[in-house]
Amino acid sequence: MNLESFIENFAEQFDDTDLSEIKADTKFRELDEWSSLIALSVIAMVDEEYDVALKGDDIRSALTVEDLFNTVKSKS
Amino acid sequence: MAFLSINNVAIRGVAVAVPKMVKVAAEQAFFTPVEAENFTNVTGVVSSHVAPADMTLSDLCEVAANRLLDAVGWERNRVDLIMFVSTSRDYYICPNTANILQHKLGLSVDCIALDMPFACSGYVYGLSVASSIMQSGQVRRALLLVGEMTSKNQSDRDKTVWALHGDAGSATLLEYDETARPMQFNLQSDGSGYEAIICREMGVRQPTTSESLEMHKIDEGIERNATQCAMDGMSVFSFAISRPGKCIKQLCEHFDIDLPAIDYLFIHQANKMIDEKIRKKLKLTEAQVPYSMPSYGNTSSCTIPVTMVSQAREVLSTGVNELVLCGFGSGLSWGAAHVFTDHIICLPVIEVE
Repeated sequence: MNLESFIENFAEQFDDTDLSEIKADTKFRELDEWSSLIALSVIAMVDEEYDVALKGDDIRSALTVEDLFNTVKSKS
Repeated sequence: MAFLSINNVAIRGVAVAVPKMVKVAAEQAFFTPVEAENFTNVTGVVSSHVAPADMTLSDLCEVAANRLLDAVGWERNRVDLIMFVSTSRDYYICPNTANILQHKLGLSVDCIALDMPFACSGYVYGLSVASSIMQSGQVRRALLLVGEMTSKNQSDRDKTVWALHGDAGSATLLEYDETARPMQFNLQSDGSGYEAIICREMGVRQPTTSESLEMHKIDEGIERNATQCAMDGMSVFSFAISRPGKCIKQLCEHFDIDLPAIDYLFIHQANKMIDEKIRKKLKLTEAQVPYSMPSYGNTSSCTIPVTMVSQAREVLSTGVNELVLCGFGSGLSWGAAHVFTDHIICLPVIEVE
């Protein structure tokens, strides 16, 4: 799996946030639109695209999009 | 692989009892207006039933059992097995609630009584254990009581659990029958997720102390004490959208079941977002997967019988139906069953004052 397509998949879960705002080093939980509902969408995307089951702690301990990518990568 | 195929056991009837009192999700004080709207859109839950202080789950199961035994016309002294599948037990340590109900229902002392403290996967697990005990023909009639009174172990100031759940108890009658089609099961467990849904200071690992009862503010709209149920919603969601669907697929592959041809998938009403993801992955139609959560919420192990009697009573009462049942939750524990029903007695939902 590659980081670029992960970022794209991640960014698609947002409705109002501009895609260009989301990069590898984006602290995603600080985005205005971030919510528990988007967290669920991200978990569902990771399940569908990468067949990986994220835990709540995986989301809570990741700071940046790249951190989350690394977690998914290590579990896939 | 825990696949079971059990012969000679038929489901004769199903009944459900709920408390009369209703709680409306959108009226809960912990929600902001936006949260309330999102909540119902995502979970599908509009309202559910909640018990008064003096009512227990065993009270609901007792009502459901008595009505169903009368409707089917069984003599009380001919029931050989009573099982109470729930974490809402009258007494958490001892005795078993099944024994209390054996006496209250007037069943014989020549009766096996046992509790199984399962949460949301309970109906499928209870059915597998009851039918396993019965298949050799020595135990001919069984009363399977399944349900949950989550209002007793949840905080009404916790938005992560309180609006989603409802109280309900069920009774299912099983009978030894050599003409019955086999019941088939796939049962799975993953204790690495034991903390995903947990009542922590309520047992012998972390005994209850006076501090356990102090309320803590965890976050905005989330207050509970350490004995009350805590759910890690993200972990549960992640588990629920992947494991149960795979479990059903494995069941179908192993037993050569034509999934698109089944009449119904009665799936645990976890929430609508989760259940819709599972339904779409399995490529089943909306008509094949009825939902009871709008009016009853997530009633834990009772969601399968609640959905059967509230959404498919007519069809189940008047014909032969091929069903897949699937429950999943705390443990983590999950399982799926493939069963046929043939003109079962299916009572309308009973409301108890």
